[in-house]
Order: sequence, then structure tokens, then C-alpha cells
Amino acid sequence: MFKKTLVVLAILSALFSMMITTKAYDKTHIYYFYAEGCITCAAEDKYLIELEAKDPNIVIHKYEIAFDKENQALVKQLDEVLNIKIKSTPTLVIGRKTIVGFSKNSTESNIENSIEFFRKNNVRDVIGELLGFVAPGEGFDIDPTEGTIKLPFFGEVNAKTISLPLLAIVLGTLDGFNPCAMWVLLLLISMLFHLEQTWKKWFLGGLFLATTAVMYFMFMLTWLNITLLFGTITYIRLLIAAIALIGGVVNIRTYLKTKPGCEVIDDRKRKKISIRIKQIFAQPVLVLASIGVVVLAISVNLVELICSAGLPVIYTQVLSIQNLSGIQYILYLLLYLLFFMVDDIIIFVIAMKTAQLTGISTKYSRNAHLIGGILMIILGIMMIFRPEWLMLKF
Amino acid sequence: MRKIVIVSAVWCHACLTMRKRIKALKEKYPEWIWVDLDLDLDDDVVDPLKVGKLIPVFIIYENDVEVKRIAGEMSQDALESELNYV
Repeated sequence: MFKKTLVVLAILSALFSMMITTKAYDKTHIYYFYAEGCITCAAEDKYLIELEAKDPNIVIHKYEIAFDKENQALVKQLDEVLNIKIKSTPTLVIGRKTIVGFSKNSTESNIENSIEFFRKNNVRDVIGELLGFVAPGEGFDIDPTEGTIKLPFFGEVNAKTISLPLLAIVLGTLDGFNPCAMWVLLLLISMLFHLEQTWKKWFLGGLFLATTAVMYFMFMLTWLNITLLFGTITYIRLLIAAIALIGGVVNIRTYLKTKPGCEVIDDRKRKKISIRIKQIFAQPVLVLASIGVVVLAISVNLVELICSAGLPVIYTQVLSIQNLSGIQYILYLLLYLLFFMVDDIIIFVIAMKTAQLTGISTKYSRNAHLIGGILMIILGIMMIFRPEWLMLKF
Repeated sequence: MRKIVIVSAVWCHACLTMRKRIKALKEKYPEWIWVDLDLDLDDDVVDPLKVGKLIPVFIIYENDVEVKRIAGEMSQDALESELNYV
């Protein structure tokens, strides 16, 4: 019933909008942003030439944005004036709708549907107005990011905003259960118990966790920027897909091969870290002890990055094609990070409150390997064959 | 006389998970001798035992002769049956 009411409302609003429309555009202007040397762009280029030849009412404006300074300034202007963000290539803009990436069939039909929607709903050509291709004030300024691209009240954005946080939570949690650096945290907490002042225990333990979080965040942010710049280049996408597939296989293998329990860390390495923590905590100057904790966290987590077998790399790749704002990207990274850190934080807080160490059963980390492995393989296959599905708009 | 030697480590999350289960079995079988060893702190005793790559390790002695050795995390029931099935 609710759905029917919404459909009726949608039809009514569409009819209403048609009634008050002043004039439809004679031509449909499409704005295409590409980069020299980008293979995906070359494929889209070919398709756009065909499209333009097929439909004489389509005008395609092409902008090279990797090297052309003028076009880079235009991209900046579009962001500042119209809030249209061009973050990677190829990106196609119809009205306010941006279509990032290109894959034969699916992107083609997405473009054609968007053109049809643009024409049917007399969508306002905001870029055309800015650049003087169309007269100002015509059409309706419909923003697809507000969930109104297909039908009012039924926006694609709903699927996107639900599935992206879900992906962040699932991948972050799975990554967090990877117990590679867990042993150092447990060793560190066990030694914290010997400190006399409570505040010092909280401070040094918290500093270790905070450094871990900052380091992981910086790594993910760097990787996100790399994928935003080069992620749509086919080779890079395929490389990340290969990481996903290899990582997936490694994870499933780990699940199958690992017996429940703790693998004994190499004697020398264990003793070295143990002595290092003892020295840090014996340090009477707090600043020096803090530096020691930070350095320890960085060196330990460098190993963790390799150990995570590519989950953050895959997550940032998926994130990079979502065409989000800078703050949204950061918030999604922080969401992943929160769930990545949650088990460490719980263990630390329980230990501090109860003066007892708690462990996480191996069955969770083993299951995380299995689920993570399967997810990575699925994402890897999607990156190769259906990258547009990763835009989480289905 | 049955003796159970348990080798674990403070940094081992699986060993920490097993603590409660072991405690329950200790209470159930007070007639057995339970010896807790730490891989790092008791290395002079643990090293000659050659516990291998997976902990926690449970070594079962019958009249001071080793009769069985099991390793890894397991449920309380599984551990109990392993310790009894010598």
C-alpha cells in the first residue's frame, strides 16, 4: 500500500513537473572527463563516438583532466560552484548524474537510461548553463545523490548508503579478527599490569592502540588516494583484483590449514619484543616511554599490514569508485577502522578494568579467515568482470 | 598418579580463552596434579619439553611417564575426554 502511494505520488510529481516545465532542451549535452593513457577511457571514448553518431541530438563535450590545466580548473569549478565532483577517470556527467568507470553493456545501458531520464524529466543542464551551452533557468535541477534519479522517493542512493557502511563494518571486523599483531597487544597489556600508576597503564596502552589506528588510517588514506588517481586504469584495477583473489585464496588456505590455537612466534622475535616492552616500561621519563610505545606500535603494525592480506586495499578500491566527498571518504575509512579496532579496544578495556587478560577464541579468527577469503574472491571477480557492481547501486 | 602439564603463554589468545575451561576441569578433577607452565617465564623447564609450534599444550603423565600430548584450543568437553582417554 505504502509503495503504491509512493508510486502515485511519484507519477503525480512527474506530471506536475511536466506541467510547469517551460521548455525542453533541443540537444542533450553530456560532459565527459577522461585521462590520456587511461585504457578504460579509450573504451568509453569508442562507445561515445558511436553514441553521438547514432543520436544526432546528443552533444558530447570532452575534457582531458590528467594533464590539461584549464580542464583541471574546470573540474575544481564544478566542485565549488555546482558540487559536482570529478574524482577519477573516466567520468561522464549527464545533468547532475555522474557515471564513473566504464564497462561494456552495463555502463552503456546506464548511460542510455540516464540520457532517457534526463530527457523525460527535463533535467536541468547545470554544467551547460555554467559553460554557456544552454540558456539558464530551464529544466529541473535533480540531484541523483539525493536519491531522486529514477523515481522520487526511490533513489539509488538508498542502496548505496546502506550497503557501503555494511561493507565497511563487515570488512573492518573481519580484518580486525586477524590475530597477527594481537600477541604483541596481549604481551604489552600483561606487562602494563606491573606498572603502579593506573593512569600510566591507560595512557601507554591507549597510546599503543591510538598509534595502531592512526597508522592504519594513514595507510588506508594513502591507498585511497592512489586508487582515486589510478584506480580506473584497467591495469591497476586488475592488479587490485589479483591481490583480492590471491588474498582470498590465502585466507581460505589459512582457514583450512590452521589448527585452533596459537602459533608459537619465533623465539628470538618474541624475546626481542618482550625485552623492548620491558625497557619501555622501565623508562622513568614518560615522554621517552611514549616514544618507545609509538615506535613499537609502528614496527609491529607494519607486519600487520602484510598480514591483513589485502582487505584494506580492496576496501579502498571499492570506496574510490563511489564518487563521494572528501569528508565522506574519511568517515567511511573511520568506520572501517572503528570495527577493525573494536576487538583490540574491548580486550584492552576489559584488561584495565578487571586486571585480567581476555582472549578471543581462535574459532572467530578462523571463521574470519573463511568469510574474508570468500568475500575477497567475490570482490576480486567483480573487479575484473563487473566493476560497476561495486558502485553498490544495485 | 596422573599429572597434567599445561604449557601456555600470556600473549596467546587461545590460551586465555582456555583458562576458564581448564579451571573448571581442575575443580572437577582435584585428584590430578595440575602444573601450569609459561612458555616464556618457565623456559628452562619448557624448552626440554619441545612443545612444538601450537599452544596451549597439554602433556599427560601417568606415574611420571608421559602418555599423551595434545595441543591447541578445544572445547571443555573435548579437552576432558582427551585428558581421560589415555
